[in-house]
Amino acid sequence: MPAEFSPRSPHPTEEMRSLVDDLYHGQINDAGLARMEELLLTDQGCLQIYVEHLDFHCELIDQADQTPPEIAALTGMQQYSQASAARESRRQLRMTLMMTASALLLMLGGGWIFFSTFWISPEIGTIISLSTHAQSIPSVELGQVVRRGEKFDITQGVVSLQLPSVTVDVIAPAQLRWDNHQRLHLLHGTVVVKVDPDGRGFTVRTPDAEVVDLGTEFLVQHETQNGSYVSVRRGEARAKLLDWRGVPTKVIELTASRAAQIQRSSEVVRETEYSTEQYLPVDRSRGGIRRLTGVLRTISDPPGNLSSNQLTTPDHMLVIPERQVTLETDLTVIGLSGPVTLPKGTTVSSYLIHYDPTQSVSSISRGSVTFFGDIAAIIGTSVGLAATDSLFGNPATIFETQSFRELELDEDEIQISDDRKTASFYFGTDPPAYLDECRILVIDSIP
Amino acid sequence: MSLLSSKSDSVTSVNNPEREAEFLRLLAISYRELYAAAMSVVGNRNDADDVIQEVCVVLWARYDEFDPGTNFHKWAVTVAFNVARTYARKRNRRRGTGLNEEALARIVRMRTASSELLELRREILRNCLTRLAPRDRRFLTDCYRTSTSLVDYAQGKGLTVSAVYSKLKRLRRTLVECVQKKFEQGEHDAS
Repeated sequence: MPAEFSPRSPHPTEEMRSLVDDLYHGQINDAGLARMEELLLTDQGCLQIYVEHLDFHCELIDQADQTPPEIAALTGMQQYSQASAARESRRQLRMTLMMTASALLLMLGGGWIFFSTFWISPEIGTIISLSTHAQSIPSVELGQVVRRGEKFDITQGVVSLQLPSVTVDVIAPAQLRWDNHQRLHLLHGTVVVKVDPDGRGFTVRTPDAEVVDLGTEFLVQHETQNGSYVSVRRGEARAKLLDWRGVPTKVIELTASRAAQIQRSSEVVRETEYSTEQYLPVDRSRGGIRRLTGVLRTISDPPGNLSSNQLTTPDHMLVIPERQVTLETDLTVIGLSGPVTLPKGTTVSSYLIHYDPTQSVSSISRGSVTFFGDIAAIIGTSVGLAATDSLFGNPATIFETQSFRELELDEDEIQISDDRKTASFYFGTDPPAYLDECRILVIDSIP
Repeated sequence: MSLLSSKSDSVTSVNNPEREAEFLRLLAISYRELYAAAMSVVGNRNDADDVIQEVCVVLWARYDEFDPGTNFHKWAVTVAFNVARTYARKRNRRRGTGLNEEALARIVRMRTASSELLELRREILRNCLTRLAPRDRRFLTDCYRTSTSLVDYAQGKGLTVSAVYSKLKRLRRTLVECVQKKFEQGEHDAS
């Protein structure tokens, strides 16, 4: 207890109790410690009070923390083992640094090519999508290669990574380590994993659970206090409770639209309410986008106002997931090459490209977006955009009504790849209105 | 991962489930006493948590040295005091302050000599706790729960930190007086 809240009693035993309270709360100062030591060495009664009063605190801890002693002991031992492993890891890092320094000397002698090749960890995937405010320690950028053993602390936004046959979306705040192309270690936070049939068996491990994909889309969330939450949106996954040694002790198999809570401290594996709410940050940010390149970014939340100068993008272009609509009647839109008719019953996902740098910029505004589905049409005229705002736009979004929002095809460039999965952009900046927008309609396809 | 894979690969008990289970059973029985021993030397919750982790691992690493015919509890408490004193020495060197060796030695001797008396006082304290108002008991539980810092607790409840400390101090005083009174009057009923 801080000294200002615990005025000393003139009686030494009361004074000792007050000092012990300060010591227990880590609030004792040098003068208090010196006085405590003096009393301990000179007054047997105070020595007795010291021991009794700290034991008093221990009993109150026991009463408050009802963790069974065997669980507390096991948890403690595991934490110590993990801390020891971390120390060992740091020791190995120091060794590695020393060896690297030695390698540098060798490089001076001409061996640098061999060693620079030798020390690089295997590549396991690439960063394929970032939301606008995504931040990470260390920092990440689109197209960046992620290597085995790399650890990331995602502090803001949504970061997406493509591994062979597996897409992983990381929702901040999250801390994780990529063990290899078939496994990631989630220390805390949330990941959404989409697995192609070839990637079956992909595993997410948390401190108290292991989730193995059986061909699916699933979400894993881990918080220190609450343990791990596993939710399966499609397909199947197998979730295991791990004991303090990391050995599975209980298993639950989850099918679509089911979820489970897993907590080692209470040895609980129980099915819990399934909700799609946890998937929203990824759905809002990425939807059916497979990959971004260049200066394109996704967005974390639906924008409120897309009028000119309202959502400025000085150094990037936004791709904003809009609505997914199953057409009740045939729909004809004006695409880049002319009218396109989408038949009744087609499920269409819409994405708005928004670029509003507000003034001429020196950086090149190029980028591309690749979808899981096929691009049906790209609407670039102001009339075409206005005609589809209400059908495909986010209901709460205000759109620019002036015609300058449309693409100037003599200056702006759009190309659709042969497989109709990818749209590539170059948007020029033409004063006085810099806003450029187009809407991409994609035939829905589940990855 | 084995229990002590990071500590000692040479421990023969590692792959002996029966011996491991017996160790955990004995450890569970003595765990609270070991924690209290660590607390008496290091004096605060965070350090005691660190020490007890190391104590458990050291006990397991040396478990093959333990003679099953002897007193596990006594052996474990001795190890706990040694680990805690080593920890305190390192901490004092790092921080440049702390109780000296003589004071720590006196604490260990006093605690060892008082173990039965302390257990009696704990029983009385548990009895005194039942006499507190449920609201006050909840408050104490919240303040002493593992993950709760008093500053976080005060912020969460919209209270000032000084108000939380004041209430905690008042309740502790009530409990100390209750324990002292019952102890002196010999009214305690262990049931």
